[in-house]
Amino acid sequence: MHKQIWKKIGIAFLTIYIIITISFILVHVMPGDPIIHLVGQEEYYYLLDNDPETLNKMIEKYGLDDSLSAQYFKYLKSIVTFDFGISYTNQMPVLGNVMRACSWTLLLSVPTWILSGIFGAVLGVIAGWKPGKLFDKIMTPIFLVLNTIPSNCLCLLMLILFAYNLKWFPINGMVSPGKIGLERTLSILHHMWLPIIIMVIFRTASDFMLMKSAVSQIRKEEYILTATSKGIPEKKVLFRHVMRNAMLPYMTSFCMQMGGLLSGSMVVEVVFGWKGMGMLMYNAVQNRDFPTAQLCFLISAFCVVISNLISDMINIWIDPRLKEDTANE
Amino acid sequence: MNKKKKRNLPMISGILMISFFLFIAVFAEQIAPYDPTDMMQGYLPPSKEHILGTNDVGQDIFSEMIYGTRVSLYIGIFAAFVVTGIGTVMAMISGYFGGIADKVITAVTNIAMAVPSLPLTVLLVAYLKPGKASLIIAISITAWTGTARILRSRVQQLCEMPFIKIEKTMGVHPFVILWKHLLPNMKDIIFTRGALAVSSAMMTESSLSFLGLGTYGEKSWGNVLHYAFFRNSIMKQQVWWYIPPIICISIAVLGFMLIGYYGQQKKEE
Amino acid sequence: MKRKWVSLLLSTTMCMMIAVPGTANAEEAVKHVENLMIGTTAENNVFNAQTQSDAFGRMNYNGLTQGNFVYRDENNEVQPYFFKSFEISEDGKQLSFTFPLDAVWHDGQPVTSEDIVFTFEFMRDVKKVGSLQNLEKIELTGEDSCLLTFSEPDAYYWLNSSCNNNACVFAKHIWEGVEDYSSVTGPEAAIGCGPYKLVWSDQDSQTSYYEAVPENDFLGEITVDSVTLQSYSDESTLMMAMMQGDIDAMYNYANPIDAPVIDTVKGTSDIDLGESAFSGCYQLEYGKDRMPGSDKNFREAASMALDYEQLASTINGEYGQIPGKGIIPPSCKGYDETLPTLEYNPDKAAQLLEEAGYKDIDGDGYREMPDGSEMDVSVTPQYSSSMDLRMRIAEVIMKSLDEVGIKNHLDEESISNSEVWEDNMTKGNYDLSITLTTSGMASYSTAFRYFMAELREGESSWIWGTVRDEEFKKDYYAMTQAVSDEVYIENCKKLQQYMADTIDAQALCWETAFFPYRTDKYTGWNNYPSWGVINSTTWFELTAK
Repeated sequence: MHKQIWKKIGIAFLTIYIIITISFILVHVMPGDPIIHLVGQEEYYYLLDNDPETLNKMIEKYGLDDSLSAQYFKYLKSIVTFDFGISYTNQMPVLGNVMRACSWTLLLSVPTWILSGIFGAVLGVIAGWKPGKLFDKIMTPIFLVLNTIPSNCLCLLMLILFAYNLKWFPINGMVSPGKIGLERTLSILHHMWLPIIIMVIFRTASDFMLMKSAVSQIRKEEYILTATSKGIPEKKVLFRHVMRNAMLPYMTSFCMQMGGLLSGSMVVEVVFGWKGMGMLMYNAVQNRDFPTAQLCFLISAFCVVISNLISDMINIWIDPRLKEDTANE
Repeated sequence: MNKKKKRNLPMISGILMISFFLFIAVFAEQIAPYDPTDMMQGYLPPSKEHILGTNDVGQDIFSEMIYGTRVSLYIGIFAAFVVTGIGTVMAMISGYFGGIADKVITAVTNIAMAVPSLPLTVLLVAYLKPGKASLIIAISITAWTGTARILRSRVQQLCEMPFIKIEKTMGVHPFVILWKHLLPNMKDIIFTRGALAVSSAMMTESSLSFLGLGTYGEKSWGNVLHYAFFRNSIMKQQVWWYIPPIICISIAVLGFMLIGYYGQQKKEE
Repeated sequence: MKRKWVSLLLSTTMCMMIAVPGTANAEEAVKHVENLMIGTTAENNVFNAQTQSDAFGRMNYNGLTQGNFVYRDENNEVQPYFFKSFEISEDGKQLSFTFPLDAVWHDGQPVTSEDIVFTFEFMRDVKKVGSLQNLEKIELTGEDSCLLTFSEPDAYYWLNSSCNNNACVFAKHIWEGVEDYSSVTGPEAAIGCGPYKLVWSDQDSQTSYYEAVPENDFLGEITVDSVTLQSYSDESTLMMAMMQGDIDAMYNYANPIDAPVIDTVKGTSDIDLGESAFSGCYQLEYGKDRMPGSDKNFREAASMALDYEQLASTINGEYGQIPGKGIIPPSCKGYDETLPTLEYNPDKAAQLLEEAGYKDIDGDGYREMPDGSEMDVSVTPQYSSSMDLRMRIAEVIMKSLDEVGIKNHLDEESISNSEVWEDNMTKGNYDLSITLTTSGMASYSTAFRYFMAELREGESSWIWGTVRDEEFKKDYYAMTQAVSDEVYIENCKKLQQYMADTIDAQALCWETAFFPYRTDKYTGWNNYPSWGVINSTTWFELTAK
């Protein structure tokens, strides 16, 4: 069992290393001279003619003239030492910017993740246990349709209805100005409502489908049929056998969803002006802010890899069959 | 009898929806009352002449929607072709040959799955030359992984079948086995994956267009919605401008999803 | 957060202590504005006196936290701000000025003559300000006076261009020895000697808060006690906030509220739309480095083919005007009202093209070049982070050209990549280029700046034009270096006439600008044409009702 876990960890690290390399290649083969964005267009042309020395100094400072391999090792070194450079757009350390954005995104995505995990599981079990019954007949089409509305469309519809027309929620932003302490917390909650509702709807829709199909599949399996035919009460069968077995694939995918916590809310963030990871990444790409774009990309990918690793481990831990396999090895 | 009919209903309605849009896409010139690039008076509300009014530069929104069907379907279906194509090839190679090929492809799939897709797509679209081709590349680049995974296990399953095993021992060329025997046996699952791929590609396209990273100059539904939003139709309550693209996108996505989702279920029974 | 709160408390009490004697006198005369709420769409992230980016940098155009030397008044005249007075010698090579002795930096240190000398050296040697490149001598001629001597007649040019470029006093004790000035991020980077100091800022709510520094009363008593600057993610949310009364006024540099947005604000009680004639404009430049842009007949025909009504309604809704042939709008200094307006006449355009040899030889519905080769003109909108309006303008132009049989396409590479765009523009690699003159550029450098293919020595930015005529260049520099209004106007008219004759470039629409503000709480708003009610005089003129 230990062997398997170590192997998974090794693979995860390798994946991260490869993604780091990909992100390096991606940024460095992209067209466009980053130095223009560092000093600004006007300044760049001025310096180019009048003071190329200063320009060279800056290129040197940012290591833009080294050979690609030298830049690559410099890059690896900077990642190991957590030195991700200075953002081109606001001259602050990138790490700080990204961490701040991360925390705002997590504020939206963690509650979404947990809430929809619960809603999806509960509703999915009910629908899957008795397929074709009224509950299933109503909920399944609703969630299926919800699954098909692109997130930007639903965002717009909710924004128009609840923020513009009914004025229940603020249109934009994360917190009202000049609020302190409890008032500030309340203001943040007030701003969070609409984006969270939208994200929960989407997540629940897919979680529901997942749970429903898991439950309805297990329902058909022989031991369940035997259990019910033996006259064991329905509730007992549901909780003791069906739930337990359906939870496994559900938990696996639930853990894997953790990977999307940082990168899954870009559209919602852009629509609601939420200054999280998605917005930061979007703006960084638009402004050619390489260090920021790169770190956003890396952290999002890192998050995915780690969550996959966790779900693998949980799988090994929960699933008795996998345990036996490894024990026999 | 009755039960079977019920089961097919979602799939039939899905097919109907898509046929409807395909029809519109093919006969756009005949259906649309105006050339969508023609400019008349701007910001007109719906009327007899303009069923859905006109947009900010005086183009007939209804005609825009009709022609938009073409672009949106084209991108969705083409991207799905690429996605399913890559996924199938990857799956067949890794599933059939196993060994190193399998290990490499599985590793590539795992890495591609770890890359956050929308951020990567945004990054790519921003740097590639704008146009339908790069949009399709950007959409497909990470989307093939799911298809590859599912098909791979299906290939492995099929390889255990006696007839494939016999052919293998008989020394039939792998290409022949893959092409003549494996592929036909997987066509249903490939078809359903393909339908689902269209719906997700259309959703991504609509997100990208909305973020202003879609096709320039060509009017897709996402493009119409983009201008509706950024030219302030929401504050002005111009429902006839922003609602139609939302409805069209959702129905088309739903259509493909119904085909994919229920097509698969039918097969399982 | 806690620290922010404490510093807020401290500074409020401190400010109150300082302000108490002042307010006691003032109450008899004017009612102060307690806190002016200003909305903007620039972000509240960077607080550095040396840059113009972000809300902070933008607001410093109005001398909010910085002691700008001069400002431009509502009639576009340069007036002293930090300077007490100034004078330019007749040959335009010398500028003498006086400065206040009681101004203070926001960290409490006095502003001294050493700071003044340092500032000019810093701007010339470290910041490399183009208009100061010929500054030879900086002499203190008295306790409160100074003389600048240029080797070229640049004094008028520097002073005028400085109004829109952060030309203000920099503190020697902060900036001395700093080379990489834009990467200074500490609180000291925000310190200036303007009428307001930055007290706190909150990135999460995108707010910054400023309090008056009564010593720095450049234009008289400061009547607005504090200013809050709030960023919004776009114009419609900004306007919603104003309609709800969250903000009193807006400032967005040279970007007035879009016409479609203004329609929704119209008719709201207590809001004045802040309407004025906009001095900037969208313009179209013909690439003269190659055919067909180099052919005057083509340019003439193309300018007649454009549907100006449609352009006007696209760019500025019902408020747009068909522009004149001299490009610059009537609100600009030196506008020549004798020039005719542009004319939309597709039939005549087609006829002109036919006469000039642009005929459809192969019968595909599109015209060929006079030499029979294929013609397919590219349309290049200026790159910007939000391309929506520009793409719409391009769409209208392309449709118009199409109607008269000119085949055209959108330059797709330029619209998604600023470097590609810049490169194409600099090399003259375009047929039709859509650019924008902001009201900032229009106030002094004018749209003509964009059309030049060669600049004078030492200047090399923004060489987007293809006009290689020495005459044009000479007139342009005669205008920008003019030592008096008469000379400026005379040369400005020459340039307009030049464009009307050659059609090397043309305007697309003359706009009405809107910078709305609330009228229920305060009075004394002064709506500067093209800039709105937030300007350098607001701090000293706005009073509570």
